[in-house]
Amino acid sequence: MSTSSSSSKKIVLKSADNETFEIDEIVALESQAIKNMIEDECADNVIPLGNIDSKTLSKIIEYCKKHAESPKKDDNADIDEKAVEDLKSFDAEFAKVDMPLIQDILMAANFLNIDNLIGLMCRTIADRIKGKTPEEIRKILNINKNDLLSPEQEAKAREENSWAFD
Amino acid sequence: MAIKRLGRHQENDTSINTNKKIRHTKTNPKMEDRLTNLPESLQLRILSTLKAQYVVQTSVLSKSWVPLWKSVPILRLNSYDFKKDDEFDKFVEKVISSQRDMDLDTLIYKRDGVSTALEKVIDYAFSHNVKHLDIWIDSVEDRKWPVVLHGFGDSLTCGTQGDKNCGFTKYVKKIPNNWSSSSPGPSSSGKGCYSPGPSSAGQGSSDREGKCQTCKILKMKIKILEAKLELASHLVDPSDESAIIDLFKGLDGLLLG
Repeated sequence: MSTSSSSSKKIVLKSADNETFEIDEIVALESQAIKNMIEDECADNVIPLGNIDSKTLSKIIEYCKKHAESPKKDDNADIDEKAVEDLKSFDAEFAKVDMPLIQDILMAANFLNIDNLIGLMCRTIADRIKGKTPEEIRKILNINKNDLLSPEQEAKAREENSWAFD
Repeated sequence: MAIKRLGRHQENDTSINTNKKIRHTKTNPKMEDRLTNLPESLQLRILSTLKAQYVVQTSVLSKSWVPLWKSVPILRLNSYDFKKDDEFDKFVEKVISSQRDMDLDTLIYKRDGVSTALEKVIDYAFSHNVKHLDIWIDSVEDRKWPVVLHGFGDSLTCGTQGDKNCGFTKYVKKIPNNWSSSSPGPSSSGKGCYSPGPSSAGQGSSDREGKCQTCKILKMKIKILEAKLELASHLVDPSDESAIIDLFKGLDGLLLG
């Protein structure tokens, strides 16, 4: 939190486009991958994240900050419900971004091993595709043209699982 | 098997991540199909949050999606998502008769009333080494619930306490160890009562008994039972095992009419 930040240890992350982000160690620890690096003492100075651009990284830091500041569930069984609600509405707002960014965040969260964030992004993607037609889903997910089925293949796949399309 | 497979994809993760530049531009005509590029473990996690019928429907999306649904570790079957119960039953029948590529982690089955498919669903779950089995039966109007009490002596001991909504598992720890499917058990006769043996449908119940050891959490919520057990918890001293067994006998009598 802000009161302790002046004295707490800092970690510097560097994005693929060479932007640096100085954050409190406690925020960085939300990432299991960074936590491991710190514990193994191989996280001195700057941690380069060559596969995460600054836009994605700043979103991820925003998420980790909020979650690091919130009381953890297992710390105390009776943390006030307001904090839980607050975190929930933060997550809901956080996920209101376009699909490419969601997928970038998901990839990056996977790389950094931030389990809550992976879960949030997966649920968000699932929410956006559920109940949609295959055609709509292909558009939402921007499925690669090379991966598309031929009309014959699609008919066959549909035939095999026709019971699920009634 | 699951671990091995995830491990392989974990390795891929790093190579994908380091070789790939992530782009943002919405209008970029070359924008990748990111979800197909996601490691399979993430694709499966996305599918794990969806209801089973949506999961199966992803099998026509594209080449890489075709086989995925058969590996999704969580299967969510809920009759309230279907207009009619028999549509739901047909769907369930199809799902559990399809070949799976991976073991199951969790199976959640919710239905309004008992279906004859329930035993097959339970067999299916155990034959795929399910770790969490969550069965909700919302009403037992005709008292035909195939009482699971007898057949699952062993698996019940794998159940956990802690779900306060579940009257069934509250009593799991108090069932004596020797109270297995082979012991007489309370009122093991009666129509609609499940009795283990070669006649049972699906994969065979001896198989089930062996596999159910992998089941870490078995939750059963049965509305009619729940009410009785709730009532019973106020009447019976929970440390008195014989009283509880007597009570179960009584309940069986009630349920089986």
